[in-house]
Amino acid sequence: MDYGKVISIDSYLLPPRWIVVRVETADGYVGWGEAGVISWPATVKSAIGEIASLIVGESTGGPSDVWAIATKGRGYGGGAALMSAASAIDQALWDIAGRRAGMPIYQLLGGLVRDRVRAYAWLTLDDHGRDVVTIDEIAKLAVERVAMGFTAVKTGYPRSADKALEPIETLAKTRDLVDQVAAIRDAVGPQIGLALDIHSRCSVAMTKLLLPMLEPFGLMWIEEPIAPPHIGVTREVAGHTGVQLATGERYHAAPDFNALIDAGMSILQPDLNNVGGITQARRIADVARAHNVAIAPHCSAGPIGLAVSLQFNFATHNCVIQEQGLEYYADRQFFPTGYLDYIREPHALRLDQGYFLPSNTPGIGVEIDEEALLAVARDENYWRPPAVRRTDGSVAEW
Amino acid sequence: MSVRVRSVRCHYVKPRWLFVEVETAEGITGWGEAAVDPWHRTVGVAIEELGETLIGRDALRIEDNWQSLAHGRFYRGGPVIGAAVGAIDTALWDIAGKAAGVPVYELLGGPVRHRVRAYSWITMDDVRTDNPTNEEYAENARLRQSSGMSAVKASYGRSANDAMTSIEAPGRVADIVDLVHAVRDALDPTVDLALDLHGRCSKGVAKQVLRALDDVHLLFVEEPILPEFGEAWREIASITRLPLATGERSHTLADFKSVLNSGVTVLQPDIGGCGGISEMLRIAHLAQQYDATIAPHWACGPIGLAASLQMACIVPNFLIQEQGVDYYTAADFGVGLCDYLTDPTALQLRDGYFPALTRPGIGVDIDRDMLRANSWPARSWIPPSMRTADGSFANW
Repeated sequence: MDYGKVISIDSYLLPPRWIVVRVETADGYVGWGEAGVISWPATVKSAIGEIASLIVGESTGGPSDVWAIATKGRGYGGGAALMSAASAIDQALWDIAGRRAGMPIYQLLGGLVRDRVRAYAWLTLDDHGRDVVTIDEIAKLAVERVAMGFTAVKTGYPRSADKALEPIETLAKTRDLVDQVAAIRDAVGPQIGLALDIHSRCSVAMTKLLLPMLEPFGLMWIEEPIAPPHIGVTREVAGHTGVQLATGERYHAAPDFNALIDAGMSILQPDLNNVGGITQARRIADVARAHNVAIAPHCSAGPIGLAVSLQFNFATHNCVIQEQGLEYYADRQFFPTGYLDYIREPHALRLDQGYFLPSNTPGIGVEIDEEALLAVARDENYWRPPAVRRTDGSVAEW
Repeated sequence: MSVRVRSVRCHYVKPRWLFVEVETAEGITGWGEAAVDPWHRTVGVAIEELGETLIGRDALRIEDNWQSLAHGRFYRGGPVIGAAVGAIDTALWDIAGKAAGVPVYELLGGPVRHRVRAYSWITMDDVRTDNPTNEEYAENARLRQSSGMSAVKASYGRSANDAMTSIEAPGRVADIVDLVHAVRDALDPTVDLALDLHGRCSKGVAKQVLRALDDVHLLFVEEPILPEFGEAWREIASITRLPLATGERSHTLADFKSVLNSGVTVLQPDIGGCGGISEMLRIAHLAQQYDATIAPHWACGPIGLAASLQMACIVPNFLIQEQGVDYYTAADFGVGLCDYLTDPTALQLRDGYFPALTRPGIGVDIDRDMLRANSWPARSWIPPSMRTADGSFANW
């Protein structure tokens, strides 16, 4: 198959914090991809440019060949910035491969394995300019999301994004963390999936103290109990709880996921926008399948990254649920540029009672309105996590 | 006492180096160097992004700054971030030493040695013709020996397109073994030889090569396979008596922990790629618990080399320093490694050793006129693109 020479690879920063890539081939195909490492926008954009210099104008093959060049073509590779850049390019190449074939990517990957993809909603007010968020507010948000049709929700520690946890918290604070989960479970009832994202904000000691206290609430999973890359400690913590443990959004190499499986993780959360795109995510999912481990792809990206993630879910049997933020980014007061403003016919990104339905649109499944996209693209898109400090003034995990 | 960071600036200089200058409101300037060869522009941008975080902060709170720089943006790890943080961290230590009026090794517990053993390359990638013969390798080795070096390193890979496949014919293994014998035989028994396989072998080929080298005495064998294959390293370590080395492509403490658990006894962290002096010290401390030695990788310019020498003076489990002082010469590259220093003799090798750098900070001062005269507008260097015989991608 002639894959067509790549003649351009351009990247754009879009509000509120997306990094997208446009790839064009000599025979007129255009593909789009997204890089998920949003806290290093200029660095990722530069990496995309340096990878592009290895590909543009060269005789390259399909997504697999370009993946090898993008991830290994400069000798040194790996890590958040480079893998995120390579992910965006990989996605765009898959988009082009689908368009060339006139098929959605899920069809190239073997066709639909499910009729719909379950999604979950976040219970967070991180970007809403709030200093203190109460348990009642989070529980109320959970009820609202369920009313919208979601069958699963995810809450995180701490409720207020800029509040650090101490290495070993007081009894009062520990009770408060447990109460948050208990209140949400009470509010949504036993039929709704509830996940907890610790976001690596607890120390190992605190995690061991806390995890057994969370067992009564029937959680889908507990996410990032231990900060990457401490896979060894993860094994130890997994032995302290009957709740399924999940992690993956900050691992960028396939062997890391093998190690996470060995360490007792039963749900892996590779992010297709930073793990190395569809090419790498497929490999990880296949290894996970050999170990009877499920995939719940992480996605805190924009519409392109989400569309790609959905293609993957539709074709990958051990995917169980997709993270997404459609309803979160719908609040125009805090996100003036709408999530779908530059997506033409966004039916592939519409939720139906908490599920996404497949679309026949070739490639990633959405058409980009380039004019609308370029109108909002800007070079000033710097977002970074809040600088979080403990009470003694030392740096804490965000 | 506090020293406020006023600016963080990148200087790209020939032949392909990236220096970082951190200026403070108090007038003390610190220098660092990023090491990741093939990602110059991206590392420069990452440094600028980190500069936003650093400006206005107290440069002397080095560890606090390190935490913010390395972990403050949630996503972390990898060569780009390791290099950007490494360059800035080095500059902050330089500032701290200058503020105190002492070399960095005095801040970190005082010197444990007064000179630092180094090795030379006998591979001439940039300046010699393709397909060097074994005799050419041997001749280079003799040349280094006669200049006083007590150790040399040969890299296998005879040409710019010397891809290896997962299963190699016996002739390929024999070619590596013949090269090693030729160089070893050319050297006096008091001079050490190391071999760099550059991660090009598959696990299976690496085992064959190591078995075939079992009767040769080598200082270490570097990257018989790529560092990312942690479990495979254990297998390889169990079939060879030779010390195994890796590290230039490991960028965090945790990366090193995984290879230590696999039987590697020589770690090669790169000060401008592993998160700087702060993280390298942690790596050395971790290695000590495994009775492993540190042989720092360094393939770039004078600032990172000076910083690496400061480390060598602090760390008890130090083995030997990589360097290119005798490789990056003005004759071959237009500008020599030492030409960027106000005192070019500071990094002169004496009988195969660097004397401890006793001036404040990292111990060398930068000649700004030379930076201007040798600026490097291209800002990009790409390794050779390699393909195997069937046209598939191969690791450089």
